[in-house]
Amino acid sequence: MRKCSFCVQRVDTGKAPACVAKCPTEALTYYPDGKTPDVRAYGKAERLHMVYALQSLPGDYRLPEPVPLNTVRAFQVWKWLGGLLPGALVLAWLWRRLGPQEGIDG
Amino acid sequence: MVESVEAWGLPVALDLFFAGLGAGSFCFAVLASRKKGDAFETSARGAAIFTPLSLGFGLTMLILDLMYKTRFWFTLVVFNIDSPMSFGVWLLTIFALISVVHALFFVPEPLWAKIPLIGRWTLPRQAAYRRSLGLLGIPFALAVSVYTGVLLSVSSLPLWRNIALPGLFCFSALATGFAAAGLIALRIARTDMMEQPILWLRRGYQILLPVYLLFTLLFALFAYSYAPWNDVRHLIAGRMGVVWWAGVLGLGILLPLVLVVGRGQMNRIKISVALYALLLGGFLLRMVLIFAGQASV
Repeated sequence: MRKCSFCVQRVDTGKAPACVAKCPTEALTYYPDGKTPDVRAYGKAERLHMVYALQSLPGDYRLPEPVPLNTVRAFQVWKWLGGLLPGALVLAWLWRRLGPQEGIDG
Repeated sequence: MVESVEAWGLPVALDLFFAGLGAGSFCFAVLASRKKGDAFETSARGAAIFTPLSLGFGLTMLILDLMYKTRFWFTLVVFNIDSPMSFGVWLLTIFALISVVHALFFVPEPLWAKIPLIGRWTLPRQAAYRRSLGLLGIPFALAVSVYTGVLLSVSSLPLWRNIALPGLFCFSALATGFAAAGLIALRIARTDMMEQPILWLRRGYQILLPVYLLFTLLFALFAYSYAPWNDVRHLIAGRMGVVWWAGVLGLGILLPLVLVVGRGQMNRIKISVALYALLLGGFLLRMVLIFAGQASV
C-alpha cells in the first residue's frame, strides 16, 4: 500500500498534484499559496452536517438559499402554536361539553 | 429506473399513529372519569390502561426504525430545543411515564389493595390521585399529539412543510384515540349500560369531527397553494390519491361524520362502524403523508 505524498515532486516543480491535474470533471482545485479565493461556507449555519465551499450563489448549485437560524427557530414556534392553540381550544370546549353536570340528550 | 429512497417508512407511520392514539385515549380517560356511573368508570379504566400500551408500541417502533437500535438511549442524554425529534422524544418519554402511573391508579380496588405498603396507603385517595395525574397529563397529551405533526412540518419536504399539519395530526390523534377507547369500552362494559357513554361520545364527536375535517381541508388548501404541483400530485392523484380521497377523507372522516354527527338514532352497530372507520382512516392519513411526502425526492 502506498500513501498519498501530495505529489511532493510535482508540487516542488510548480505543478498541481496529479489528482487535481487529471480529474476529468475538475472536482478538485489546487491553490499553491494556500489562499483560497472568495468562497462562501454553506451549510454550517444551516446545520447540514456538511459544509460546501461555494464560489457563487447557492442557487447556481441547485442548493436552497440559506435560511438564517433564528428564522428556522421562529418558524418552528409557529408550527408548534399552529397545533397547540387550536388543540387547546377544542380540548377546553370538550371539557365543558363533556363535563360531569352536562346532560346527555343525544 | 430510479428507485425512490424513503428515509421514513412504516415504523415512523406506526409511531405517529400510536403516539397520537395514546394521547387521544388519555384525554378520553380523563374526560370519562369526570362522569358518574359504572359505565363511564369502566370506559375510563379501559382507556387509561390502553394509553401506556399504545405509547409503548409507538416508542418500540421508533427504536426499530433506528439503524443502531441499542443506541436509542443516546437521545435521552441530550436535549436540543431546536430539534423537534429531541423535544418529541422527551415529551413522549415523560408522557409515557405519567400514563403508566395514571393507569396504575385505575387497577381495580381489590387488586390495588393487595400491593404491599402503597396499596393500602393510597387506596382512600385513589380518585384524587387519578384526577391530579389526569390534569398533569393533559398538556403532555396535547403536546405529544401536536409533536407528531411538527416533526414532519419542520422538514424541508414541500408536502410536509405545512402549517396546518400539526393541527391536523392533533385532531386526528384525538379522534382516533377516542375511537380506540370507545371500541374498548364497547367490548368490556355491559351492553345495556353503554347507552349513556355512546351518546356522550357522540356529543364529543359533534365538535371533534367537523374540526378534523376543517383541518384536513386547510392542509389540502395550503399544500395546493404553496407546494409545487410535482409534490402535490403524489397526494391527490394516482394510487396514493385513491388512499387520500377514499381512505382518509371518505372512510376516515366523512363516513363517521354522517354516522355519528347526524340527528338520527344512535346504536351499537352504527357507532362501532364509525369508530373502526376513524381508526383505519387515521392510520391511512399517516401512511399516505409519510409516503407521498417523500415520493418526489
